[in-house]
Amino acid sequence: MTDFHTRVAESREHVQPRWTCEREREIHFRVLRAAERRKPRFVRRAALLCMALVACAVLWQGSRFGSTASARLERLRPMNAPLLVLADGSAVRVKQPETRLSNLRVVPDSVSLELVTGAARFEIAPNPRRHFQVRAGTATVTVLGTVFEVALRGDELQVTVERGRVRVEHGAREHVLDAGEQLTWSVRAVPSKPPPAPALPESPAQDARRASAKPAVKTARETPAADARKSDWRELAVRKQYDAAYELLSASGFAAVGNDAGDLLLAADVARLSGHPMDATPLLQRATQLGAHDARAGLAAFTLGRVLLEDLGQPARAASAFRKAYALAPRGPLAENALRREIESLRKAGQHDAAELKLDEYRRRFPSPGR
Amino acid sequence: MRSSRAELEMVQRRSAQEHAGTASLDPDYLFRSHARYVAAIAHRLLGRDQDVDDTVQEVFLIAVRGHSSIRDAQAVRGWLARVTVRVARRRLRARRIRGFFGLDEASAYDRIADGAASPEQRALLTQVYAVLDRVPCDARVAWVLRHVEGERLEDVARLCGCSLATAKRRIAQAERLLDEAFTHD
Repeated sequence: MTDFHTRVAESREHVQPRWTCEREREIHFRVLRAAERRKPRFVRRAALLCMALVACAVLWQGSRFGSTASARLERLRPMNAPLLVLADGSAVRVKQPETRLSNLRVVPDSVSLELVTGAARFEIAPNPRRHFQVRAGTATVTVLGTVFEVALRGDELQVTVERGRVRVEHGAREHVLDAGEQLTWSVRAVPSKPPPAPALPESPAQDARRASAKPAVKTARETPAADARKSDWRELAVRKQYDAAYELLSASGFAAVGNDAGDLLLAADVARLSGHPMDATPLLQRATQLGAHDARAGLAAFTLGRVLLEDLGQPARAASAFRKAYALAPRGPLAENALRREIESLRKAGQHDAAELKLDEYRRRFPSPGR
Repeated sequence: MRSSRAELEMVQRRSAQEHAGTASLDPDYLFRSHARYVAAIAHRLLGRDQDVDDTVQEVFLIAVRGHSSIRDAQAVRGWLARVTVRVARRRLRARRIRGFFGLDEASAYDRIADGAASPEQRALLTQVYAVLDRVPCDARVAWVLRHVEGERLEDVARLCGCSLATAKRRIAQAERLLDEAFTHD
């Protein structure tokens, strides 16, 4: 070994990075965040591949029986056997011998089918990038990641949610059902004006008698004109025509949106997706204030945090919103993200000490992040 | 501060995982145990403290995605070292391309050594890394692993993913350039 090598060897112990706990935590946090961002990309690719496989299978089956893929998918299997299984584990099972399903359409970002008659059970894996819709009569059930049953008996539609949430739409009516809730609606004729609010029993056993027996309740504020306006912007919003919906909403005033979490969240979506995030914040704040009265308050608080952080650049207020989202549902599906986003917001707001404390809490609460 | 109960639960879980031989494959544990080690390798290979964070992040992102493919928990450290070398080599090449187009700031390696180094050691390391900037990336990585990291030749070859003969040739190539530079100096 030469003198040069000896000198290098003696010096190498001094070639060390300035490694501190703070720096390690910072990088760990960045790794967690980046890993979380990359995950959906893989999931999206896998979902697209699965959809393509299912579409091919349906096309093949359709041609085998001499009909087009999207035209007919009638019950040909024993009850409770999966009629349709997507590769992500989502499954559709028939519940009654007379069940008929048709008009299956599978495209990368949506799956839709029609329940002609009978009852079917849907076990849908959560996937925010894919819409899963079931049409039953003139009503539409949009899946938000769940296990639920839909039954259509004559004019009567019954939706029972076992796990997760679904949105049921019929004409201008719309309702989000949570786990354990059941809804019964008459669905053959599209109502010309909004019908009474549907009953939302606390348990499936209570639902049937309540759903049909509950009288219509209409507030004094809801004049026919207001009803028409309301249904207009909501219909536009549901059709994703946010700019047009925003014009209608802003003309009538955002303050006119009722104290219903679904309405407030939809109106907030209209505002932020039409490029007016500032108008979304008071709506989300109102939805957040519903608190214990509505399970969607946590979602509203989380959305408020995102708007404040990403659209309005107000990290300190965003941190507060994420904190509230976490407090409202500390064991909910958004809890981990809410806490993580709060840390991110605190860092951006320059509140590093508070961020450190939250990071400790995060590590305690989620020792294996993202699992 | 962690509560004693949470700490206890974590220790119990870790103990169970260790018993099952899977503790070092948990991504969180992986980071906490090996981040400093990965940072040290990255620092020595790249020579710039400011590049270390991004390298460590990239290495552990790869680790998060690929840790499930590791069968032997004992091999994690070596695997992380190989990933670090690969990532560092890629960054060195990118740095060189940026430099070619005048987009990379000239490196000042005066902060390569820690505070405990003597002025002579600091000067030597600064000079060595300045010369290494002119050495081809593969040769630079092999030389640093051999003489700064202190790895055996077999380990240099394994970390670089090449044969022993290739590793020796790369080290010799770097040697020549360093000899020339220090002889002229």
